Amino acid sequence: MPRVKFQTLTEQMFYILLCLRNECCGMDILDRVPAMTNGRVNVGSGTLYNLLEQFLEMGVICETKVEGRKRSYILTQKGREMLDREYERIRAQVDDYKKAFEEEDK
Amino acid sequence: MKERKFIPMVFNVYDCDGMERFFEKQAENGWMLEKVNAMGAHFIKCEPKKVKFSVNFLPKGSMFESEKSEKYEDFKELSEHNGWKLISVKSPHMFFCAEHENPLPIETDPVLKVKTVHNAVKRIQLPLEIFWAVICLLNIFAWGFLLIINGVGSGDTLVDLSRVLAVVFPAGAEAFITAEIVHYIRWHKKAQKLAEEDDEFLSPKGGVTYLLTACLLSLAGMAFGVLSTSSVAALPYVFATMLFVLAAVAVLYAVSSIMKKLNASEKTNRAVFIVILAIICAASLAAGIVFGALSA
Repeated sequence: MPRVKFQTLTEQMFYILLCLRNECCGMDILDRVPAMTNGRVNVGSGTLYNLLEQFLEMGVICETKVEGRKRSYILTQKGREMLDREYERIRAQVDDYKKAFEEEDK
Repeated sequence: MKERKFIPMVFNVYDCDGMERFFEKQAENGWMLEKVNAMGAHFIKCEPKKVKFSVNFLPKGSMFESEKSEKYEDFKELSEHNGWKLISVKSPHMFFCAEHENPLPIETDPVLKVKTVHNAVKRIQLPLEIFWAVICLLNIFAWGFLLIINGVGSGDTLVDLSRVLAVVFPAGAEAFITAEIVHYIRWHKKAQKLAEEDDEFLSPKGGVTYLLTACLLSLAGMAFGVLSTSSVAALPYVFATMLFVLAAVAVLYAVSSIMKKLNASEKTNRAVFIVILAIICAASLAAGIVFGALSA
């Protein structure tokens, strides 16, 4: 099944958007994602560049300032809603998992 | 002792993995990539070493994008932050290397990687292939037209070797282009499936470009077409037309290259390219009509 654009987020997308709850630039994201996940998730520079362009186009993030080559971004309301939907989806999965195993354990 | 060497690049636009393996092998043999230009790759002598290469497309990049554009600079800065060193930019490719072990790949999402490659092929390789396929078809139609005019039985269209080759070569070129397009479509379908289902990137294994072979075959076809012409009086016009086309194509690419060096925007460069191409096509058509009139 082809992945519908941003209907569900990949881990990399999720953590990039999570980093952007506070204003930061591309290089900050490259450092923060592995730090947040203890190195479990890493984002390649090409993938980040590509996703930032797509997020900007969709209005999920916006550019806040440009200092020389350094561009900073922040999450928009639309982006926050997208993250919230993803959070709800993951939480629903966790709840279903718990329910399934709690019933088995009883 | 030779300190530098040059190798023509005959890879498909989308065969980035093939290029990476090629550069890595050269480095292992003591030749480090120095730069890449329209003709091929330049290497400089070095100690044999293991170097990891990464050949990437600028997302939504095009062959008209200036190598000095901000987009390339932004991509380069992000990649340098992750330990990659930019060696060369040849639109739409960027050539990076990393000498430390296990560098984090530049592309870490196979689905996005397949999409980026697909966009580049749609913007760059496919229009060229279609353009060349049309040229080959025109050659074949012209031959068929002559066959009908001269009559299948009466003329020497099917007997004269150079006349036969004048259609065999473009037909071969057409077959090569079709094979290349089919090869790409099959790869794209498989790569998309593998990326979505298994989160893996399928290497295209394109090898030598079919397009280059197709260009050579169709040019050979045109040459035999000229040799087989029965009108001696028209020959100078034919040669003049061919020289004009070659010179015009050289001018076309030179102008595009100069505009890139002057950091002209992608849209301006594309527009100028299309205008010059339209002039070449119109002039070639006019020359063809004159040639036809002289032959008749």
